[in-house]
Amino acid sequence: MGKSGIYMMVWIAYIAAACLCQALFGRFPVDAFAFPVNVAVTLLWAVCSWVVWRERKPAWLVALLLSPQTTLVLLAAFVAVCLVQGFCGDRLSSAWWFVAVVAALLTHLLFVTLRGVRRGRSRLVRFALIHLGLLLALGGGFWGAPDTHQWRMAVREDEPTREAVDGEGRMAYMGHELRLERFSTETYPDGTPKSHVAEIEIDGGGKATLAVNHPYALSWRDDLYLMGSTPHYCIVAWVSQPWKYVQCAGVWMLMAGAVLLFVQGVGRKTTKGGQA
Amino acid sequence: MMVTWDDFVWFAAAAVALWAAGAVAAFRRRGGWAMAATVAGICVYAAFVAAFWAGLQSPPLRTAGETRLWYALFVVVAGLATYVRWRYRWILLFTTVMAAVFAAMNILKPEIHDQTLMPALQSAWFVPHVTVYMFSYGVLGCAFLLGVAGMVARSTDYLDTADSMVYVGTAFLTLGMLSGALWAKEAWGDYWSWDPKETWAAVTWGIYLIYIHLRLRSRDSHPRLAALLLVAGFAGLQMCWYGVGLLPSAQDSLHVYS
Repeated sequence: MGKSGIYMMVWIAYIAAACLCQALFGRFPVDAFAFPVNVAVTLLWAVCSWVVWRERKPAWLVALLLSPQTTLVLLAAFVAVCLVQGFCGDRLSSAWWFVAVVAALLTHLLFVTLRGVRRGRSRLVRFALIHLGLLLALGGGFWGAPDTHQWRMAVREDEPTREAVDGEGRMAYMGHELRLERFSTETYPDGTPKSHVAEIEIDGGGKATLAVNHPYALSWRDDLYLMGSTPHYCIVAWVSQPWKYVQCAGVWMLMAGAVLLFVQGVGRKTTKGGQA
Repeated sequence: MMVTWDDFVWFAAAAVALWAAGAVAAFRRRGGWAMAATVAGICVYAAFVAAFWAGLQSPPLRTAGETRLWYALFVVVAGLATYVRWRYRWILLFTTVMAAVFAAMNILKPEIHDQTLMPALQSAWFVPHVTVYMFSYGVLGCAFLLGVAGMVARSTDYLDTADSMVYVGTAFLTLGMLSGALWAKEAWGDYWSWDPKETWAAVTWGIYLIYIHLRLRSRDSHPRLAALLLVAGFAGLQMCWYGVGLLPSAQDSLHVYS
C-alpha cells in the first residue's frame, strides 16, 4: 500500500473511532467546552500545532497533515457529513463524527496555511486570505459554539420582563428587563406588511428600536432581534455570540479571497503528483 | 415625466438589443465593440432603474418585479467583468440570455410588479446574494456540460476550460454563500445555523473545493473523477436551488418564505 493509501486508512480509522464514540456516548458534550475551557483548548491546540509544525516531529503526523490526500479525504468527509445532515434534516453539529471531521479539517487548514505562508508561494495573498479566512470563519463557529446562545422573549406592553426561553424550552432570566413601548407595522397599499418596528424600553430607561434585519447591539456580545409579533406582544430573540468577531473577520477575508480567485483564475499547475 | 413599468418594455428592448450586439461582437473577437455595446446596454437599463427609483422616491426593492430589475442588471455587470478579465467569448451571450429572461418575466408577468416582498426579504443583501448565486449557477452549469461532454467523448481536453469556469463559478458561489451568511447574522442572529438550505450550500461548495484540489494535485490523473465531480456539483446546485424544498426535512427551514 502506498503513502496515499495509508493516509486514507488513517483518516477512515479516525472517523470510525468518532462514530464509535457517538454510539457509546451519544451527543458530543458541547456545553462542557464553554468559556474558558474552549479558549484554553483552542490555545493548547494552536500551540501544540505550532510546535509540531516547527519541530517537524512526529514526522509522520506532519506528513499526514500536509498531505494533498488529506485535503481530499477531509473535504470528502465534510461533504459526506453534510449530506447525511442534508437528507435527515437534524442539526448534527453536536455529533462526534461531525466534531471530529471539523477538528481535523481545522488542523489541516492550520498546517497548510503555515506551510503556504512560510514558503512564500505564488498567489500568496489569495492563498492566505482563503485559507486563513476559512480557518477563522469555521474555527470561530466551531470553538465559539459552546458560548453561542439564543433565547426568545415575549416582550409585552403592560409589564417589563426578564423571562426568556432557550431552543430546548429551558427558562432563563436575562440580565436586563425589557418592555414593549410601541409596535408598528407599515403596510403596502394592498395591506400586506412591509416592515415591522418595535420600540423596546430597556431597564426602564434606555430605548432600542428593533426591525426585521436591523438588530440592536445590547453589548459587545449580545444582540436583540425582532422575530415576530402578536397584537399584544412581540417576540424578541436575545443572541449572545462572543466569537462573532472572529467569524466576521473570517467571512470578509474569505470574500476577499473569492474576489482574488475570480481575478487571478486558475493557479500555476504542476505535473503528476506535484502540488501547486 | 414619471417613468413607470409601462416604459420598461422600451428600455429593456433597447438594452437587450445592445447586450445581444455585444455578445455577437464578442463571438467575432471584437472585444472593444463587445464591451462598448454591453456598457451602452447597461447604461440604458440603469437609466430606467434610476428614473424608476426617482419616481418611486424609494429604492425599487419592494416587489418581486423590482428585484428582477436588479437581477438582470447585475448578471450583465458580472458577465462584463468576467469578459473584461478572462475574455470568454460565450459569457456575454450567456448573461444576455439570463438578463433577457428576467426582463421578459417583468414584461410578460405584470402581476409580479405588485407582488410585495415580506419584511424578511427587505434587505440590502437580498439582490447581491441572489444575483451572484444565479451567475455562479449559470457558469457552473456550463462546467457541468463540459464535464458531461468530456465523459461522453472520453476526452480530457474539456477539463482545462472547465477548470477556468469552476474557478469563476466557485468565486461567485463563495460570495453568494458568504453574503448570505452576513445577511443571516443580521436577520436571525447567526452566520450559519445548519439550516437545510445552508447544509446543501455547504455540500455544493465542498464538492467544488474537492474538484479544485484534485486538479491542483495533479491535472493529468483522475479525469473521470474530475468530470464526475462536475456532475455531482451540478446536482448539488439543483438541490440547493429548489430540490431542498422537496425534502420533508426542509419544511421547517428558515429559508421557506411562503
